[in-house]
Amino acid sequence: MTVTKHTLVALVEDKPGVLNRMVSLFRRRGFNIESIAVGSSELPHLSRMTIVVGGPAGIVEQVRKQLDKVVEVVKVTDITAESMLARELALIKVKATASTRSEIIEIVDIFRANILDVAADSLVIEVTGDEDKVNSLFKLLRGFGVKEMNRTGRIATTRGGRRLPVEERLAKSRTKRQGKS
Amino acid sequence: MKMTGAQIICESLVEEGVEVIFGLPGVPLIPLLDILPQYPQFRHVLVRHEQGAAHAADGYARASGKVGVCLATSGPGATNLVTGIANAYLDSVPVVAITGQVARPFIGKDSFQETDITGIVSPITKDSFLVLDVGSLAGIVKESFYLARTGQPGPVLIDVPKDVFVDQTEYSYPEEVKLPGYNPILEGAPTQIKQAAKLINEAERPLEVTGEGEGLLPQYVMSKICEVTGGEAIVVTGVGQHQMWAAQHYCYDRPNSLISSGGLGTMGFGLPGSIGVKIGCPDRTVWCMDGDGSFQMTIQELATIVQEGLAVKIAIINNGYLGMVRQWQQLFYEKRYVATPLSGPDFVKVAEAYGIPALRVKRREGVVPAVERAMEEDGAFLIDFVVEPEENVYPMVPPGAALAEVMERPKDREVVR
Repeated sequence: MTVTKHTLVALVEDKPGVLNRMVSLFRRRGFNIESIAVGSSELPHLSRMTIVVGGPAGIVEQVRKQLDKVVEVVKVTDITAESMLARELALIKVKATASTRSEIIEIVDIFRANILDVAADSLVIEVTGDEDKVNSLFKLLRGFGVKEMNRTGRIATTRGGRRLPVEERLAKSRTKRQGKS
Repeated sequence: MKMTGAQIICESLVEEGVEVIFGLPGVPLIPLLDILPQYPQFRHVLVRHEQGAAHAADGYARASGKVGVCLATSGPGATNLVTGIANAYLDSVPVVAITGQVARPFIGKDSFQETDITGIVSPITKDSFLVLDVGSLAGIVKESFYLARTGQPGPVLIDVPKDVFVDQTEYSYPEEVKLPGYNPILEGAPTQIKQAAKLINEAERPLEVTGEGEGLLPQYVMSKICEVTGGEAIVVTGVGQHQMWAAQHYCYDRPNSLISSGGLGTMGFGLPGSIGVKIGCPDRTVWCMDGDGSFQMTIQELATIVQEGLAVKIAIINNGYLGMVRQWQQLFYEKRYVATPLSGPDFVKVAEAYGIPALRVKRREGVVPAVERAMEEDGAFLIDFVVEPEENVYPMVPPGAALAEVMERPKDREVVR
């Protein structure tokens, strides 16, 4: 069975224990989750989650169906095969002396990254992009001495304006309820 | 109207039509137990170990079609439920487990009798709730029963801290549940059900053998219990060889009459399971057919049977082995019987010590009179059937083989009907 990287996007209720239940479904099969990113969605009390996990396509689909059965999970979609926009953000703390600072700034500019903090012996760099871009920047900065790297993991969506039918229905029912109150 | 958490639980259970609670007390539960006498519609069945409470709730639910309820205290009380909850989960049985928890200020500190029970049961429940606010309690009970019984049924756990039982709030039972992620299929698919029924009806019973056997054979015992009871009993089993024989050789005449741990394969389910079944179906004859290994795992529930006055008939298929494992050792490990020979107490004396009349049967001619004697008894009765120790279950699927490569009984070891 070929192991491929999958990107799952989940809309879930914002309640305690939900993340634990979802992650357990991967853990019990010994899967290693590459990244997981969670934040609030456009709908009240619902969070959107992007999970990146490597595994055989058939097995990942089975886990996706099990995720869908978790009571607080509204919908999980595997968007791997779709036209996808994926980004992550990294904060990289790198050693910088008077002699290396300008060279680092040049690299930061090429990557359209930002410098968030300048100290006597270090810089904190913010970069947004796909994993390749973040990896490339990290490789270049490593030569200067990276003290710390923090990555958010992937967040992703599909191209085009289409919403999933289940999300459409939820959004409508919520607008109606808000209108009433 | 203002109510305590304990009152809210009782009122909510009334709303859900609960009639029986299988439980074992602990200090955090006292505020709840204290008001139970005010709710005569509930029967609290005191078990001797919390695993028994979960299995009894499970058996009750399977036999009655209602949601089974069990109640345990924090820490070890809660962890003792775990096997029973897993059993209900694997067989999709609607059970609501309520556990006491340490008071809120002590949660998360490894306090005395604290366990993270919602975390522990997370993979073996449809959902689990830690009630941190008495205001959310009624809604959580409502959701729990709804989740347990709808869609693919299963267990749900509600963990209630000690101080939430006595906290007060305005009570009203919610009319609906708000579960945007939960869209259970509430009706069966008629075409698929028809197809399944057709396949089942076309299937043949895999075993019908004749010949001369030796000793008292377990299959013979099963078929005679069937004859005497006219196929009308509900059979509850433990797990192992006796379970297979009970499935093969009791002539089930009515639906939903074999209650058995299928998914988890929990030895020890039989006796506590039959307690729940008998309470769920008091008008049916209930036979607990157990192995001597399974029976010794939850033997203490004999006391529950006596205290509750339950007419459960118990047949121990006593072969002195953990027989299913022994069969594998015989067939695939050259008869190296490691850790499977099993001694046991004198089951007749044990039963009598608990106050249950009992008989031992060693020969074929003793089977029918003993079963008839058990059926004449108004209350519980136990029969210790001392059977052929090395009898095997056939057909069986050898290790790693497909269902089609089933092993049949060798020709020289056939069974008398």
